[in-house]
Amino acid sequence: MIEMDYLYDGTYEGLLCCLYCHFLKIPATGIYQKHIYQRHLINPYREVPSLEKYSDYMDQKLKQHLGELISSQIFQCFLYEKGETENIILRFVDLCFKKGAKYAGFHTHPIVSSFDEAVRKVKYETHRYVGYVRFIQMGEYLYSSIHPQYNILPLIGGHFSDRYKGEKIIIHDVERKIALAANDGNFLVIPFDKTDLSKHAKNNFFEILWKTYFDHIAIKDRINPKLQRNFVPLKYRKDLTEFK
Amino acid sequence: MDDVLMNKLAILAEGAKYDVSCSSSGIERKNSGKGIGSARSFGVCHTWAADGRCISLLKLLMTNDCIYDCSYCINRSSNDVSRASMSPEEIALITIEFYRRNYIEGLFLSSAIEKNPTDTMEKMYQILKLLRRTYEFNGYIHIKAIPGADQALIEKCGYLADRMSVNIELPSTSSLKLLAPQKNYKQIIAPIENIKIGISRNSDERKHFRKAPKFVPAGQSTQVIIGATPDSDKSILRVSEKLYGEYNLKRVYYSAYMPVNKGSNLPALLTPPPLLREHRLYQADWLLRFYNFSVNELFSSGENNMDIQMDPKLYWALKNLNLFPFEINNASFEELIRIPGIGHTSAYRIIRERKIAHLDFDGLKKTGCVIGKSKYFVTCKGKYYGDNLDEKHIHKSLVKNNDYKQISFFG
Ligand code: SF4
Repeated sequence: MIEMDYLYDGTYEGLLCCLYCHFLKIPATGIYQKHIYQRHLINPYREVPSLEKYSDYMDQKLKQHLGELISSQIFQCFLYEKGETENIILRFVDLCFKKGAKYAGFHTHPIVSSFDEAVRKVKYETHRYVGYVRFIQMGEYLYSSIHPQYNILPLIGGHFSDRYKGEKIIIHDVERKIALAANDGNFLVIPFDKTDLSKHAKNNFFEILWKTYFDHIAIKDRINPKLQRNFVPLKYRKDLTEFK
Repeated sequence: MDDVLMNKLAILAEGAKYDVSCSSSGIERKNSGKGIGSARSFGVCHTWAADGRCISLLKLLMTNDCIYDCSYCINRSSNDVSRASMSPEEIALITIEFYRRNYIEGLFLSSAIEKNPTDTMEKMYQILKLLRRTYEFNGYIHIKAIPGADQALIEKCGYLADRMSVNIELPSTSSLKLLAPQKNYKQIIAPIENIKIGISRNSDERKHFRKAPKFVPAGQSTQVIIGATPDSDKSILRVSEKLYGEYNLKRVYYSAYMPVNKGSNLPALLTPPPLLREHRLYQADWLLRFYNFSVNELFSSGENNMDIQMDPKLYWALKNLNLFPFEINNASFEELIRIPGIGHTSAYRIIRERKIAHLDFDGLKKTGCVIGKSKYFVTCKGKYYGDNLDEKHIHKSLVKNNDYKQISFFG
């Protein structure tokens, strides 16, 4: 039987189309993003276009066979965006489709455990950023710049657009050059190729007030930088008002 | 005016910082559509202070100017500290501006008693009204119910706040007499009782009329000071058990006493706060709430204090070795969670995995339990891997391995 590498455009829909081809056409040896694919000497490859009818079909099949929860975890895993993410998903979905959906709960299985690990990391960081986003007032906008390890903007959109319904907000993922824009309870993730806008902002009174509060709420006899570092690792601090 | 406000905030944060509770969990509420804010059931930490404690709510005293003189309290009337008070408008404004910038999940408001309890409660009610009605704030609000305040007023507050709490502080009448003679147990328990009645009446109302306003929807909590008095672990946990069982409290917080005042009835000023003991009490509290343990079981060997060297579940297991080992492939969920090193998550996993295939020792390791602990208390497919089911032996191998890490963690 022939097998081949599939190349896609880097979108979730594109990945779903590759899964579609894997099950209904030719089995995939691997799935890679077009622009970073290193041509393999032996494996033949094929570019898979993003077509809505295939991605919708696949999305439906995932929900039908694996349930809403696991389907949403597959999307979360996709946002992990490290190395072999697409192949973690490919192997996981392949296992669950061929051996049965109950394999999704077989956490000690190596394929499932690498899937779980990616999901766990993305979820953990998502939860962190619900707390870590810091807005500054810029004209009529509340603006925030962040540097997350994973692509968590699509996952925090619902929370922030609901909470700040009456405000216009922008959360800027500086490294990925994208931003979450929300107003009136709706949100979009859009390309946003600007430098970190918070760098030029003037200090606002409430920012200084917040730092004052932050310094005085700690119990001096219990100062514990190590414990604090466990909870707020240094890499997150550059975007946090109280550590600036 | 800016500097003055900053100064007041510094003083009132200092006054509030010994209160442990900072939780914003327990209620899920979407934005009503007009104003700002929502509440998330899982609780959100926004940052961690230099002492390693999570900051979720803006924790603030309305005033630190007090007519009472509780010995243990930094704000007592006989202390010479800077005093400050904020107006309801100032507190509401700071809450909203902090919330807009996503610094906080909401407000935790407490207060000293400047004139009398009812006057204090009245000001808190004004803040609640400003936030909920004027700013249409949907975020989380936790306020103190002030013992001795007008009951109708406390009730009105309960319809605007998410959580209310009355701090017990001292777990026995004798300790109360010693350190807070102006207060009495009856006065403290009265609002706790009333809030409990209010909550259960409200849940009945809401069964008949779903749109009825919610009363203290995130429940009530309290705090007990540890180490300022000779009260034993057992008597402290008995109080907690009663508060959970009879008064339906959501949480009891334990606060290791930090000597802030001199006093003949108090620990000396340089006494270190009993942090490890506080940690053990939280662990025991957890066993009461989620692991179906009773205080009687935890102290079945007749002692009044736990062994601070080990976690309470291990302590219990060592005193009840005759119940062990459990076969990991047969034990029920209730049995699994009683095994040291196995929590809810690993117990669920064990049950799920063993449906697919019987678990051996390697399989057990992968379920996320603390295998170094659990191995002494289980068999896997009939085989025991703990080398010796003996109290002294297990104590010797586990206590030096695990618990000194805990101490340095708090070091
Ligand atoms: S009433 Fe409260 S603030 Fe006043 S002294 Fe007693 S504990 Fe402190």
